[in-house]
Amino acid sequence: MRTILLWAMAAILMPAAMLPAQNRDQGISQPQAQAPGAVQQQDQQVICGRGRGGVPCAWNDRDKDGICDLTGRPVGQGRPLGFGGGRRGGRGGAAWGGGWGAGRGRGFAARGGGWWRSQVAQPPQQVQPAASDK
Amino acid sequence: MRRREWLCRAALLPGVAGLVRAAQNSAAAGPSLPLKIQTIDGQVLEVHKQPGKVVLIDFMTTSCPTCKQASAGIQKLYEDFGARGFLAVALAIDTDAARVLPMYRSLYGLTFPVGVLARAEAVRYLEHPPDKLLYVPVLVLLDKRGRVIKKKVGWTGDQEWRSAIAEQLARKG
Repeated sequence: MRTILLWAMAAILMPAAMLPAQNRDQGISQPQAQAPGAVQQQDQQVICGRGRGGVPCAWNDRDKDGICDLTGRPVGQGRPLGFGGGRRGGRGGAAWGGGWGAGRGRGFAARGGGWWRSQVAQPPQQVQPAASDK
Repeated sequence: MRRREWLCRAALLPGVAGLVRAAQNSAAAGPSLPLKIQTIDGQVLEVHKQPGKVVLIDFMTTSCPTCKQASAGIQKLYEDFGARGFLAVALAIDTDAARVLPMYRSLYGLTFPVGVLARAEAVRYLEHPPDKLLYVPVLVLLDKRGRVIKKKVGWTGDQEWRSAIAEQLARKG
């Protein structure tokens, strides 16, 4: 009974979660075709980078949500300060054990490797019976 | 049985997260609270009483990079839609704003009204819960009747605002 209730709630809430994304997509796509002022969008991108005559980039806004706190620092920078560091001279490993392979390099082997396994596991070639055997 | 319950809970999570996000960036069509500001030019502006105009209010700080991107984006919106009845207002809520804002305006070439607002006043207008952090920029779009149409924290580009403003301008007041 409890499980059924939980599934029912999930079925109701899932469309609610999808709704804002749908609205956002519709909001961008539909009025563009209608509104005459919304035509030149390609040319109207704000230039990023002060050296190019634009506004400064929020380089450390890693989640790209465009939100800052009141000190002017972008929020959503991943791990808090103090968790960084990681390998000496290299990048700090990402949260959840991601990042570069720990001590295994970062090549094929670090990603699972095993090219030799595919060599070994090749199926034996079938030999066509000769005409004289028949 | 236990595993199935956990699966159900996992399925519930996106729904709850979606509802929370929708509540934060709500599109409440309620009347705007009164907001009277003074621009750095000395002009007094009743932002909530702009009949026939679509108003975008930008609560920002002069130090955050995304607020600067927002200001530049809003300036483009103002150039495109200003003649059709669109008004943009930027309100700086940081403590140093009164000193920095004239330079900020000339640096980013802002031609729409900009002013300084006390943070407490911004919190009151936005009806922000006092026990939660206030993030910037907060953008509020009012329709021609002074109702809040869209409210969003963060600037992710001008496209969504462009379409919302065009839609509101196309409507009859």
